[in-house]
Amino acid sequence: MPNKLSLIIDDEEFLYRGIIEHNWDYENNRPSSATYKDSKGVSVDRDGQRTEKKCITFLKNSKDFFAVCKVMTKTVKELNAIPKYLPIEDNPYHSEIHDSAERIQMRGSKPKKIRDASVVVFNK
Amino acid sequence: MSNSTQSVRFLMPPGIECHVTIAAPEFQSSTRFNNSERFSLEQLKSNKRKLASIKNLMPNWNGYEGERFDEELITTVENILSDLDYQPQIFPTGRGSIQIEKHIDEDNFVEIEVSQNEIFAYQVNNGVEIEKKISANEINNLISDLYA
Repeated sequence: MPNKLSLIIDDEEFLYRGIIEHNWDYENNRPSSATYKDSKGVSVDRDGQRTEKKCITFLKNSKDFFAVCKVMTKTVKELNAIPKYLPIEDNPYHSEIHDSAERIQMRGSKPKKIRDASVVVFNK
Repeated sequence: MSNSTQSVRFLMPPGIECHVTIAAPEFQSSTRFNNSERFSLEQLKSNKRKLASIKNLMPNWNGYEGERFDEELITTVENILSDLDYQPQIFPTGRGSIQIEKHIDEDNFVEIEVSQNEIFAYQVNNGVEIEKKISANEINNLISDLYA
């Protein structure tokens, strides 16, 4: 278990999200931006100073994801989205990306731009 | 020269090859058949298969409490796909909507999110960005415009 993480996600931390095959765009060899569209805030895992390998393993232990991507917190903020640290019982790293302070769901250009800024770090 | 109505025959001496070139007439070709992406039955069938698999996704299908897909929405998307000149790709979202997208390049693409209550389009056409709610009958034009 990690030491208690800061309530504020550091700009240099990466945010990891698992992708299932239904959201994999084979034509362009990347996840669809649909990956970053959710009703309750886009769930991601902050790295919390873990290695990339540990972040990927942790995610894959929760589900056999087809791929895993990461995006830097600083980049998310530059795209005017809000990363929020919201730990849950089974996941001390759980965080969410919200559209803004007033709105949780992202749509339109923001999910696409976050997808463009993401890097795929694991792929079956 | 004879006054006969018979056609004139020219007899070729043996051992001489005769090659004749016939100029091909110019046909007015239809763009409908020149563009292999347009009206692709195979792509439509592939999308319908994917739609059927989306319909069968169970709650938490994406590992993030992804919602199931309403049958009426599936039918709506199926009808949309059947009317399109160019088949897009389709992807499920975690909020129970289906994203229809077509990507030519970074200056020409469209992403259309079809949910039960609205259809929202994000289009970049020749670098110009537009985000707006649309109706189902505008989708075909939005995608076809990418090929204009």
